[in-house]
Amino acid sequence: MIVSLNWLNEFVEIPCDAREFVYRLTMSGLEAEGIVCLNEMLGSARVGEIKDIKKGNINWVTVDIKDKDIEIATNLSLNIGDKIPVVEAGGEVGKRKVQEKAFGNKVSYGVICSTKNFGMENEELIKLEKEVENGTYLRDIKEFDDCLIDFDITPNRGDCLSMLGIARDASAIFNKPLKKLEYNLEEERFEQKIKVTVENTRDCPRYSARLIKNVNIKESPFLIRFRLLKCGIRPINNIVDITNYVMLALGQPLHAFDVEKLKGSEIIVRSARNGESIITLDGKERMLSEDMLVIADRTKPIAIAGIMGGEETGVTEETRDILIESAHFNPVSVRMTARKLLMHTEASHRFERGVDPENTMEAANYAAYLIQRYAQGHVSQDFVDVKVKDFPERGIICSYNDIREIIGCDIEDEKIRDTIKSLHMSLEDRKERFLVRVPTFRFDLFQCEDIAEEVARIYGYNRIPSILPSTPLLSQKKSRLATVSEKIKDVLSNNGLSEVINYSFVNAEELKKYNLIRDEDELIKISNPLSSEQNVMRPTLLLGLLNNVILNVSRSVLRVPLFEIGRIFIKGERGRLPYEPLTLGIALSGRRYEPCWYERETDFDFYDIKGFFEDVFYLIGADVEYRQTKNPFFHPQKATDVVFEKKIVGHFGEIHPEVIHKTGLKVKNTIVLGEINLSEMVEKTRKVIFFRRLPRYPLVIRDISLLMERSVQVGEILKTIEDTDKHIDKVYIFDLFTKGKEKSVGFRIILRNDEKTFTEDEVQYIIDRVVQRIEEKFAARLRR
Amino acid sequence: MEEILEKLKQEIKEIHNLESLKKVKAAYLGKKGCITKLLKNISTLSAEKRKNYGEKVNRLKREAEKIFSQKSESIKKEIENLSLEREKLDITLPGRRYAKGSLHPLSIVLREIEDIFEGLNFSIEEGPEIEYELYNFDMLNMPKEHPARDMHDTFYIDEGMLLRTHTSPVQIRVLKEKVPPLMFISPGKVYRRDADISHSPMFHQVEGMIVDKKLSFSHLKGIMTVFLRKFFGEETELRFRPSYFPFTEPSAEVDIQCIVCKGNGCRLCSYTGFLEILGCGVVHPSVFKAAGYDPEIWKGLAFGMGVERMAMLKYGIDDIRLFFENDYRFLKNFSLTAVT
Repeated sequence: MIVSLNWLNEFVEIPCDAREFVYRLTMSGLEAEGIVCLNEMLGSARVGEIKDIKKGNINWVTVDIKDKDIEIATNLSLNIGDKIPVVEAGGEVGKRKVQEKAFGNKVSYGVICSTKNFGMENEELIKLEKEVENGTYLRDIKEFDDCLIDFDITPNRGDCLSMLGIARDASAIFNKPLKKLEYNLEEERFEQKIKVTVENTRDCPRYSARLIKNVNIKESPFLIRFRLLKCGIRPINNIVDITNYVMLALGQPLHAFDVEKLKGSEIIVRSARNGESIITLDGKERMLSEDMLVIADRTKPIAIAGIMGGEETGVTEETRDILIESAHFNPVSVRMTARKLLMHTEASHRFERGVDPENTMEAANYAAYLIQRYAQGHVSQDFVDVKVKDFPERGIICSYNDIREIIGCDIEDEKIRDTIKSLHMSLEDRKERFLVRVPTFRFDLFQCEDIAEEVARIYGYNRIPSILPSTPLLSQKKSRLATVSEKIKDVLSNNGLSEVINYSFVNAEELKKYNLIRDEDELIKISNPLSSEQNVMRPTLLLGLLNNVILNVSRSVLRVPLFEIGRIFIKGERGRLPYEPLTLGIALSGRRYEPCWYERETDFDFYDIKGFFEDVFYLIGADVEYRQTKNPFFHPQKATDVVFEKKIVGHFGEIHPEVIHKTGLKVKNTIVLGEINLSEMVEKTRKVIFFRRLPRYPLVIRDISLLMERSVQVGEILKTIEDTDKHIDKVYIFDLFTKGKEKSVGFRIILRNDEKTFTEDEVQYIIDRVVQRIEEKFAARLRR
Repeated sequence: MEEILEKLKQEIKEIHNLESLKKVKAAYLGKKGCITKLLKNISTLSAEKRKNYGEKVNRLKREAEKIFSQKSESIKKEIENLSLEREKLDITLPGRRYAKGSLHPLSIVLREIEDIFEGLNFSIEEGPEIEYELYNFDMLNMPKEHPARDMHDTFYIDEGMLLRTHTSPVQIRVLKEKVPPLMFISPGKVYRRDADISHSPMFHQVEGMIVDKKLSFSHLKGIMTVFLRKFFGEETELRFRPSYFPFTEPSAEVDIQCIVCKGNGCRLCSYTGFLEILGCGVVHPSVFKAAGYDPEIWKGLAFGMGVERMAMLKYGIDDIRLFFENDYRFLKNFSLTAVT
């Protein structure tokens, strides 16, 4: 909502400069998003008259600025005789210097200014009145000495969507009375009458209208056109402009019908019938349904109530007689209809937020007056005002103490009383309590809390003390899942991985393309995605991580070690919320080390990702098993499923060469990816850390090397060794190489005895048994 | 005799190894050495001269021995130094550093926020990201026909479910499940249908709530002031201004003095000198009613902030999309950030 300070001054006296005004209003709840001080932007702009136009690729116009004619190049569409703001080269506008500029072999000696040059948002031509003398500086024209303030009006303050509304708050803040609009409406008597019938009184509790005959459709006067431009509305003709002007002034949306085009001089406010349609003023056909309110003549809808009028009965250059509609529509009905039709107009924006039902006649009269004055219309003395019910002022009972307790500040009774009254509410004292009557233009005040806010915001939030509450509570410990996931973040980031955060929505097609889902029906779809790139909730972290690798590799990042902890989304039962397990994903690609002088350049592989996941399992305290995966996303021989408590809780490994091929990356990039379901594992594990005594007798260390077939699984041998004797404390693999069809594995076995020192024979006995068992079970043989 | 010592000193000056030194020593103190000879000469002297002569020669001998032993020590040291010098390292070569990763900047900021609130005795609560429309809107005083819903552009899943547009539904869940008094924050991902340089369809929020019998707007000011000063620095200037949220009344927006221009006006703060940082208010009675609380007895304070905005201000990040693009070079900016 853009406010012109000049215009506002017609409703209330503003006793300070624009910046102070903005600050005071912002601090009392009407937040200003931007301010354009026109008077600081004018520079040396003055009035020029277009004398000649030469059209071409660039239009050349000759402009008379009184003392001389200047040639200017422009892309604005102008007519001979137009009076427009110009700045001669050497001058200044919008805090910028204007210079001579050559186009081909011709020089442009200035600039024709549009609204944009003065810092306003839309680019529109400003045409001045013909009577203004050429060469007049804009700074000497009253309407240019103005500031425009863009207020961000919150949805509860529909009453502030007009000059009058802002003026009401300003009058409370600055303690200045509201000024009354002065005008003199002359009425005439006509035979012609328009009959109005309101069928749906729930959605249209009041319908006022005025008939005006013999209007002269033309351009509006400069004041109206310029004020509309300032507020971001494009002028059309005097009638349409006046309806918009009154809406901006008083907050009441109006509509003008061309009376000659009404079938049967009758207006019916009714629900639409299923199957009916209307072509609205924007030329689009709208399909209507019976939950929508329309304004109709005898035959068909002529407007969608509170949203937009129909094209057929709209005002055109030929229009002679008009009916000005000024109605009150049910906010919910307007909102639902606008949503359904995907329409949002200045009118619907106001009706949805509530328009004062007691101001319809005033708005109609003011518009009639302006039409009388600027379109030479003759106003019929018969007016329509169908009022289905009264609109009583809501009563709220409060106590001064309630108000003080909600705010937490000692504001005196009198101050509270004055503040409430300054906001145009009446107040009656009733012993300890008081009754507030809420005016019909406020749609946001229902209870004492609301009144407390009104008092606090005018009193000033910054004058309220800051106190710490003394709520006697000890905070509860974080959930184990939250603690564990934070710890994992520390471990992984300290060990070289960088955390990523990906969008929770992904592209269903991509999931399919990379074999990450079997059936699209498993996916949770978003009904209204921003783009098809983000149309389903992610059922896995792998796609996001894969795309992170692709992005980084394509940007020539040679080393990509990443992890993510976030939720994935698995469809639940019909109508129930989905399962959202917290999941850890890891992605490794490219070089294992940053370039350095102490390590050979090698690439990440399966054992890197396994190491990271092993740290995580150890941290959680989970015993897992590894089983070759059947997941088609992964390389069938270089990846594993993670099995925990007999359930697959994750998988990791190299991704399938076919998937790499589909990414379009070169095959030499191995990509190692994986994810595990943390929620599942953390729920079922506990980790108890208990001090273990230091060994009292010396540990014994023995190395053995064994030769075996390449297919033998070393993990199985490790288990076998550990199971052989209770004195085997730890087994390391210190050496591993392959030779032909065989491989050689070196095991370092640590023996520990807490009762006595081992004898050589005892040690030898254990080692012999280890060797013997491995030889038998795995067809291995000891290397001598 | 003095001449002998002088000569000896000259002779050993240029010697840098023990072999040569040994030879010189033999020439002076060996069996046929010149000092040994002088000693032997003693028998040719008369009794009265002998004493004096003997003393002199013995002193000379001791002096010479001392010179030789000193020289020998210094040669040994020289040799040792020489051998250490051969082990010289290039101390300017970079050290071995184990690879460091990084926490996501949003994780870092989230932790910082959580730490401050945990220090103020708040608990941490979580809830689902896909929510019932009822919890996300209706129970928070935002019925379907309410224009306040326009403030939240929503992603819908079918059957009355949606992607939560704020973490406030967690508050409803906690109110329903736990027993007051309550003090908690609810951090997490939220979703709104909006995408540009400063809006992301997914972003992070931390919302908080206090429920107790005696609470007023002034307590909200207290908590917010403590939090924001801890986060942005003790000197941070704040201002509270009235605003509107359907679930609080009175409601406020809190601005901090612009961290770039310190209030003088710059591009970041659109020349207002202040930056909007969080929203808060006194819990609306209808929220309490919806959760089954008697608003005559229980009072509540609520607040909420966007984590991305806090991180953008803290690290000077000017495009919200960078957080979710996950360029490794962006992420690496935040390694080893435990201490700030």
